[in-house]
Amino acid sequence: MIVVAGGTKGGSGKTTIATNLAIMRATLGRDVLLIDADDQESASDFTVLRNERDTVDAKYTIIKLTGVAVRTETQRLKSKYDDVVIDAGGRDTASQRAALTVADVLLVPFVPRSYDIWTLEKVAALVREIRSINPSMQAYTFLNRADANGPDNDDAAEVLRESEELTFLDTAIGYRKAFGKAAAQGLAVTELKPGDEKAIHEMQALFRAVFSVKPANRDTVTSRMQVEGV
Amino acid sequence: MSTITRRPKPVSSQTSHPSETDVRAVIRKGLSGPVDESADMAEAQVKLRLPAALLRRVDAAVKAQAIKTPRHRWLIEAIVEKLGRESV
Repeated sequence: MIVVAGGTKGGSGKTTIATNLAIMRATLGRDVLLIDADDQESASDFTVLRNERDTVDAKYTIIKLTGVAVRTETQRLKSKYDDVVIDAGGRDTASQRAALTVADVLLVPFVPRSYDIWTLEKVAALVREIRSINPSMQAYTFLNRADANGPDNDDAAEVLRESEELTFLDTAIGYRKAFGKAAAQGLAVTELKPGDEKAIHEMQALFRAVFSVKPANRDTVTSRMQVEGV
Repeated sequence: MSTITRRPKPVSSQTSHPSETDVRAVIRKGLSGPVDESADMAEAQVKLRLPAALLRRVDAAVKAQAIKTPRHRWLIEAIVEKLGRESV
């Protein structure tokens, strides 16, 4: 499966989501290719840090690509890996568009703040345009860095649910220091010691939701997630 | 098995099998390069003189695109494409 963490707003946690998904998938014994298609190269920096550790088991391969090469190289390499995770950055770049032309799943994290939510229309327009090229791409939103309490999560979720182009996943990830601590050590939040159970639970729920997606069948995905209580 | 079937619906060639040219046209609409490009993005004007026959070929190519873009945009994309090919 080719999963893209994307969107048009920076700072929503795309790299954290992409690296965590890649590691969790690799932990299952899958051969994972992580493509850093973000100009900021945070996923590459994270991986340098990770590879300096001797104690991590889950390994993935990372490459840095930009522009059309994100499409052409992904097409060329996808058969050599079980899964491809692409960190596409937070702007409407040629790199992100190239990633989306070959994606099975687009995953767009939204921080529950107005400036973030206001980008939904632009993301929806991008998804519409990309589907003229890649009609089977499935696109999902979810809340990331969600508040511990207060009405903003629900208000943001309500807006996200209204999108016709992107399906809202009810798998919010809270604003938790564990993600930052883990990233600073080159780890997924599931590998952090001592672990943050809530952070792990939330990340695992998102992981199950993403990788239970059956390409090109949104109804099946929704019902499956409901059954699993994700 | 029924011998009567529904008439197949015409399928847009763009959505079923987009050409690589169409795909790249969509990709090129995205930004490229690092975030702060404001200085480089300032526009400069250049007067372009070219043979009428060549312009007609350009217009024919613009008209033939599955995803419509203005001639001005087409010309910029052609320049960017050539620069990319020659790694300038």
